[in-house]
Amino acid sequence: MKTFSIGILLLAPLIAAGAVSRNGAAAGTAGETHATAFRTASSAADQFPRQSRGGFYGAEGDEDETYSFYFSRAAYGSGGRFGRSAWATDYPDADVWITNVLRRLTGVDVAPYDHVVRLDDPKLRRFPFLYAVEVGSMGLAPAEVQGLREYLLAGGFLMVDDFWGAGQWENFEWEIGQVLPEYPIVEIPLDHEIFSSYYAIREVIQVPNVNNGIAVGMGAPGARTEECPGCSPHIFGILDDKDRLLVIINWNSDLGDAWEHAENQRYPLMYSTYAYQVAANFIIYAMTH
Amino acid sequence: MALGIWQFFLKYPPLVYEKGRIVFLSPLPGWLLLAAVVVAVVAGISYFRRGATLPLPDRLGLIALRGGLLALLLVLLLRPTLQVPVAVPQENYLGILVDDSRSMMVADGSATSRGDEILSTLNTELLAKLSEHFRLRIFRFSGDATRIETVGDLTFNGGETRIGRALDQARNELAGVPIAGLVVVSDGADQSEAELNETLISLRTSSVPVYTVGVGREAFARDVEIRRVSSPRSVLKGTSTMVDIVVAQTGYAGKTVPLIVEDQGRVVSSQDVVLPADGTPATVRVNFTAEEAGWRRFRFRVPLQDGELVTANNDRNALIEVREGRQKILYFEGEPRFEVKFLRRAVDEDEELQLVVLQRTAENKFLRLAVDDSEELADGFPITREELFQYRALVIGSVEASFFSREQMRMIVEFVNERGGSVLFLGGKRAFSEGGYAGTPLADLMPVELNERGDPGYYRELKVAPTRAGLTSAALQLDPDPAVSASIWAGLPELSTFNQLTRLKPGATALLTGSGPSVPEGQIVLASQRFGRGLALALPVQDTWIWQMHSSIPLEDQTHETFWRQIMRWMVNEVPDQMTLTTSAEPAALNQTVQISADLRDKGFQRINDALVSALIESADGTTNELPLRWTNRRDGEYEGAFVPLASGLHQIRVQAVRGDSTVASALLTLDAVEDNGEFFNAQMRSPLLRRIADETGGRFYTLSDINRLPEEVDFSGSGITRVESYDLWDMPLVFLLIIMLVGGEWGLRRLRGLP
Repeated sequence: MKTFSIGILLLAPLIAAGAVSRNGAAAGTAGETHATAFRTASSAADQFPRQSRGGFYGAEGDEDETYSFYFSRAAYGSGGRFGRSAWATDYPDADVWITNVLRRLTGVDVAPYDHVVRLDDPKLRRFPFLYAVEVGSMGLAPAEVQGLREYLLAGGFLMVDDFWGAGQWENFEWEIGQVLPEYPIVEIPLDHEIFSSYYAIREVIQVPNVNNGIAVGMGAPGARTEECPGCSPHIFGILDDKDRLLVIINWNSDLGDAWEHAENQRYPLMYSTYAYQVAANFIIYAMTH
Repeated sequence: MALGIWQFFLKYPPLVYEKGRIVFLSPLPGWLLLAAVVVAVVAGISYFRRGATLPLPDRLGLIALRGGLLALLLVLLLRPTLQVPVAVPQENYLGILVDDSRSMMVADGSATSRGDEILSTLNTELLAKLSEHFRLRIFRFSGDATRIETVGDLTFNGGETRIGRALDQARNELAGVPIAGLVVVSDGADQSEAELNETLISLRTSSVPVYTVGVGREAFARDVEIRRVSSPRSVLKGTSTMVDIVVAQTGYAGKTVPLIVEDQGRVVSSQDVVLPADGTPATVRVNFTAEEAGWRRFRFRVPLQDGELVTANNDRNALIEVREGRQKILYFEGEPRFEVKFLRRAVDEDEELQLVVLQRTAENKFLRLAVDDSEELADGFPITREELFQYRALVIGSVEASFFSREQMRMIVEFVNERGGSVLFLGGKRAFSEGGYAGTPLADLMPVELNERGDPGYYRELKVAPTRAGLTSAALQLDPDPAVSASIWAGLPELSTFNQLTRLKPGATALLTGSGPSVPEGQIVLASQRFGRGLALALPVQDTWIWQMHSSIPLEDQTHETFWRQIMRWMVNEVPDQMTLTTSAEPAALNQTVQISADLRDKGFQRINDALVSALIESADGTTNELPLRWTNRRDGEYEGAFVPLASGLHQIRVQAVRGDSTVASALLTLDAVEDNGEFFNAQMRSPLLRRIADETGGRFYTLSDINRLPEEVDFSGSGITRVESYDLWDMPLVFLLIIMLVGGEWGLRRLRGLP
């Protein structure tokens, strides 16, 4: 409870001021230079239309500035759900929220805007932190498998979020098995360093999507946090042979929605606070381990 | 020949004129002088009157000839005499010091050795001749001078030659007796030229001339010599180590020979070296890796070449302490960034390095990584010397200067200056000028000149390339093969910087520079400087991790790891412990005194003078001796003791410093004691040194070919008990010749002009 109240205190001014974010990513296939790679999102952003722009505000980040950290969203091939690209779920709102809140909560010099990169893009290797969602419908092309594999083995870090139930798990397990066949997926215990790298995370909470969260918050009858019957939250990981985490997997939980809807008064703040805390820990860990 | 003519006309050898002074034994009475002047004037007038018809030049010529004759006669009437102080026979002592060192066994140029030449020269009439005039005292010397009865007692087996010490000792032996001079017979291969100055001043003030006799050739016809090896005293196990070797040669210029490095007999490196021009020493840098821990004897050698005169100078040994065990480095990073992750990964597998990270994750929030216990860095960046000085090196990342208190900044300066630690300043938005470091104590530490104000908008991408110094730096060799290393550098992807730095501090070295569009000329990427006892580095880039992550870098590539491991190892390699031990000679010469010095500090690296320090010396033959080391009074924290190695081989010296009931520090040193062969290095006859000794003391330099003039020279030295001898000059054949020339000249001129 204590950590939550700290989180609320930290988030409150941000929410009160109204979160500001840049309006999407710049387009175009950038040249190979370093700077353009940092500043320009991959063509993926255009290839896959954005899911939503509603409720967002103008840009704050300076595109000419170079930052130490880019919250890079993985654009991958997939069958898609409801006619949309799965990778772009909650994009770019969740991304803009997490980047701006991270700037407030931590000393990380985060680029305060969204940033998308394709798995088969060589520029992927310039962004050692990668966020992927809805991996339950992920379907990687061979070039993407190779791109992600080399990325992770070279030192990249993948955070997986927002996929639910055994079916989606199986899909993801199969896909990631293509990428890193030599390393098994294991449950990450709460005494792992990743849970104390910034905040002290004492439990794994199931973070509901926005609708379930609001329902639970309002005490609606039959309201529940899970998206699939009886599924409980777990944090899994893939470790290399030196016990370094390459992939952190947030299963049966939706951190992205909690970031995105942090300012929604009907969405319980405790989920957003937890989601930001977990993200801060994952990112600090990825930058130091 | 010339001497013969001189002596025929002038009757006495030049030395007599040089040492003597001319006096007139019959002063002329005043009236006679007046008469002479009157006669001269009258004669002059008469010449002018009578020769009125003669042209002026003839008249002046006749006057000069006649006047000259009269003047000569006048001088002769004064009875000119040469007075010379001459040593009284058998009243004076003459010390003869013969070099008995092993370099006398060198047979340069002929079948006989230098020693044999000395024996044959001294055994002829020379010593007999000298003993007619002087009481001879013969000494043999190498390190010390020892009295011997005859030259037959010479063995030519001594260690290093110390002419200064030998002269002092011989003089002490002859204290209280009149000394005509000292004769030094040597090749001048002095191993301690520095201590000579005081001796020479003392000899000059007490008027003891030193006559030096040079033995041997000034240049060998054919020889290769390893003249010097500059190796680190200690290295970290597995570290690529560069050693500078000075190679000199004659007769093999331009030849390619292998320079071999052996670690206790096992070849660890072999490198081809093109021999430099005759007589010009060249420094060769060899690179090898010490893989075995402990004190190791490394041998650096060039194989014997055909026709080499001196065979013992082709190799040199160096004892190097190869350390193992984790060396602690503190990396303080002011903002979370990927440099931390990848730097940790790079050195993770290096068993000799422990990279402790203090990561500021938010204002006043820190993450500690790889600490030994929960106490370490619990309060953030160290605030006491003891806390900071436990580390051997410090990396300061992107953290603004205002984070540190003034005391912490001073402590970091002392960490380098006094503790001898290394510091590396990384680039970043909050580093260098941009971090507000200009004008702070830490700016003094940096090898680069900071701009007064930072430029927050400055950002450049740059291609990194080693400078000439960088190419030869061990820390920047990305491959054992220098050519491969250069090509790896050329292929590395660009990095970026927020810090515009182009000016080096005086004495600092740029090792890496960057170039690219809008990048100012000479943008520094890596610079180093020695600062007090330690090392300070600047690496003003912020993303060396690109060298690991970039898509052009293959997964198995080790460049990033190699770069950081070598930089970190360089930083900790020579960082001293609380107690450092040095010896006056390395290797030590057998049977000669060696000084052991300890520099002792407490945990805060403050020098301490009140500890009980003792050394336990385990000789090569197994005997153990305890030796107290005493505070020297000269310098704080300096303790000294001396011992004489009696067995050749490695001596283990364990030194422990105790204060009250607790041990302050302990250290181990291994010292090699060898039959000294320093004599064979630089063993050519060094006449400049011998000439200098003679010149500065009023003696003279000889070689064995003109040594027969020595007895006479010493006779006239003027030192010791002398009597004044007078030599008449009026009856010199030269006087007679002059008279004939003057008279004949006048007669001839008159005849020519038809005068009576």
